[in-house]
Amino acid sequence: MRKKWKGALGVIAFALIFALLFSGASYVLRDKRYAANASVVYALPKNSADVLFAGSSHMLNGVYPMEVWKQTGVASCNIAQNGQIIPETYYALMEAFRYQSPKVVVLDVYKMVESAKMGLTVSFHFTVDSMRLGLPKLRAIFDLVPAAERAEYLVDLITYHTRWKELTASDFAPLDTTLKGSEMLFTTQSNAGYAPCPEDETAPLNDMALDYLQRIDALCRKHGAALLLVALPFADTEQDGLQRQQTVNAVEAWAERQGIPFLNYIYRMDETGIDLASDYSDNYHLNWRGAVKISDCLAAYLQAHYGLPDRRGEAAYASWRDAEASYAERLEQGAAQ
Amino acid sequence: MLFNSVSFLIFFPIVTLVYFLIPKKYSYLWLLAASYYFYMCWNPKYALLLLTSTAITYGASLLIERSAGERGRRWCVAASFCANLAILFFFKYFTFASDSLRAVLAHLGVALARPKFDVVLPVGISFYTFQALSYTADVYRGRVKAERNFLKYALFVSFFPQLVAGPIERTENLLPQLQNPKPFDALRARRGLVLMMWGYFQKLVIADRVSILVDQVFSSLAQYSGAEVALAVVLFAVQIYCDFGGYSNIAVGAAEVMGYSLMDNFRRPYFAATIRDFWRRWHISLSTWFRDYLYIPLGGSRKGKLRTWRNIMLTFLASGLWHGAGWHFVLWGGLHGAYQVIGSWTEPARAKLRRALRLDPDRGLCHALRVLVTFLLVLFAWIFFRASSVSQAFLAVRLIFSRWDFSVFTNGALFTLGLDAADFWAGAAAVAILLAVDLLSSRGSLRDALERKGPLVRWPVYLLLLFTVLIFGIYGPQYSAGAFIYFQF
Repeated sequence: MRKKWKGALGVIAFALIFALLFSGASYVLRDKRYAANASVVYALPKNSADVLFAGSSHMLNGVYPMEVWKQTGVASCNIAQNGQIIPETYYALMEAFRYQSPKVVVLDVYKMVESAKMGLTVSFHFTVDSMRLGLPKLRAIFDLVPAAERAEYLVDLITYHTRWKELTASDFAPLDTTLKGSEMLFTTQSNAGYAPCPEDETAPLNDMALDYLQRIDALCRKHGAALLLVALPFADTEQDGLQRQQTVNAVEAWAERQGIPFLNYIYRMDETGIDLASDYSDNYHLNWRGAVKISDCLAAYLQAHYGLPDRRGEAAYASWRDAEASYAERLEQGAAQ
Repeated sequence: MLFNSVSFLIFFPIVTLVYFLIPKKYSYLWLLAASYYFYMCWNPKYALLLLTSTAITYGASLLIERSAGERGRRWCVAASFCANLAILFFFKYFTFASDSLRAVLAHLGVALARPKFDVVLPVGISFYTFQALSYTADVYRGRVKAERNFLKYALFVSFFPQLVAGPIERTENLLPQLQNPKPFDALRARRGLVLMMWGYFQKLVIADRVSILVDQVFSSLAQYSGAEVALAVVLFAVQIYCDFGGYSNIAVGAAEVMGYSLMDNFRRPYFAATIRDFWRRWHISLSTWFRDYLYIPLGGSRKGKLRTWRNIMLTFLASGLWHGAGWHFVLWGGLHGAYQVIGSWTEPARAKLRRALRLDPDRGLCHALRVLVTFLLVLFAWIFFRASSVSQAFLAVRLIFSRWDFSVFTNGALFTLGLDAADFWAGAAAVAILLAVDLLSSRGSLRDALERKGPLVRWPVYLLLLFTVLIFGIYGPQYSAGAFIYFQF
């Protein structure tokens, strides 16, 4: 009997060592280009963020929590992800609510045009790879991913193990969450002359995205967070770009019917001061200049409408204060280019 | 369900756990259900073929035992062989045979329409058919008693670890084990898991890695010089050993975890000093099958040299055909047969020469030379095995024996054959490990040696093996940073 117990303990000890090493190997080998923003909710002190910015790359590149902090002292983080579509955002928010209890969730609705359950493989990887193992991650994978492809998301080493030959020192370094989840773009593309379609022009909303948008609304209500929908400026001149604008406009109309506030920045260029010639990185994304302008506008709106506290003097918010210098440096870097 | 699939990594622990939890009396039913599920994962319809083959050999064996006269017994065994081989012929060789016949008739000016059959080769059919046939033959020879319990016999034919790629088990080894399942034994399970891990190392780290280069070269042979083709052939020798040997090790290891001992299928084959010796080490379960059920019934070596050589040739031509429905496989088998016939023919002269030079064939340089020559002969034959046709095989031979561009080994061209420098050297390191393990295991079982050590030695070895497979194995959706570059936001 004693031998059996010894054997069982041995198996458990071996399994624990294996799990530890496996988790370490998975982390080191993971493609971490967007891991910092995907894991910002874990890096911040628990329940410290009063605002969560969520959605696609429009949000990731378009709103800087550090700028919001600088202007208002409101503590926020950006959990948006490249290419993330609405069903994926739903689960990203579900995970974020386990670690943060925001008063406001600001959701970018650009991807409402997508009718799929799961977006690009790469985007979904960036969304779930850094999620801690728990119900939201499992639900996201089992709900959104076809059965034959689930393994590579449940165990991301299956995808990344071949990165052993590309590892650099940065793969072993801690993630840099200075920007609280946002990504700054420093390139500039002029979109001068671009004009969006009229605001009352709409396209039908697809059931899939609408279903998950309603789920997001319910999730926010459940956690006592107000939902604020936003459309950030983009200048997509292609045919599908028109459909995206019309979809955004349709969401605006839907939100009005539901009583959910909506900020359509595509049509608020005067208010935001966005310059088509200098504030875009490409057709879709704002660069650092545009993002600072939008962040300032949003900061003012959030402070005016939600009564969010100024956390600048609070001891628990040292990480925001510590990041101020680094953020300022990056802005200078942008200005110098 | 392949051994190197995620499904198997879920399937195997569940099957093993339930197997040891349910009463021993019923455990064979669970294994039978699991084996059929395992097989049906490829195509549920194939299970009908497996069942048909099982039913025929089961019924034939009972009839053999009940038949009073030798004539009746012979009829039964012949009927079983004919029925099973007819199924095998139809699914594996029909297209090959009809194409060959059409080609011959076309030379005679007779045009024959191609029969419209779209038959997919059922996986593992050659393996389980041979295993079932050996059972009928063994019952006929009185070596084993016919199994009364159809379900137990069905498990013998379908036992999932060795169902699709062997080892082709013998009745007297496997059937008694299935009748008397053993309780869980931690030490045995650990040994089995280590063997499985070694099999995964061979398959995923070595075979699947070098196959990338081999496939690239063989897919467009004419583009390459003799140097690249020769390298591809050498690497194919490594690939097929690690692929087949690795798969066998996973099978033997998986069976061992559940308490079953399967026969060794590979025993350091490239250290063989003669072709005959090679076949005592390579795919042992098949070569002994051909020895026991074809070569010996043909007369073996009992009726003079010429008859022996004829029997060797027939056995190896059949072996070639067993490996694949193509003339290049037949040629491959023929080459191995010819090697042995020539070896047997020249042996007296070679022995005389060795005596005159006072060379010990089993030691020193002479032994090393014999191993090298055997390996080169095996390599040459592999060209015919790997090629997709006889003409492609001869093209490869022509290229190897023509101009070699040695600069490919120095100018970086080597790393454009499908494996970049890092992957190439990782593969080379893995082959060095394989060589070392094969060399060391000639002195005794490395697994036994490892088991005698304490956890401080064993665990790091286990973990190293596990993580080598997990990190350096070729599996999953091959990640490339390029593919992961985000273009369309």
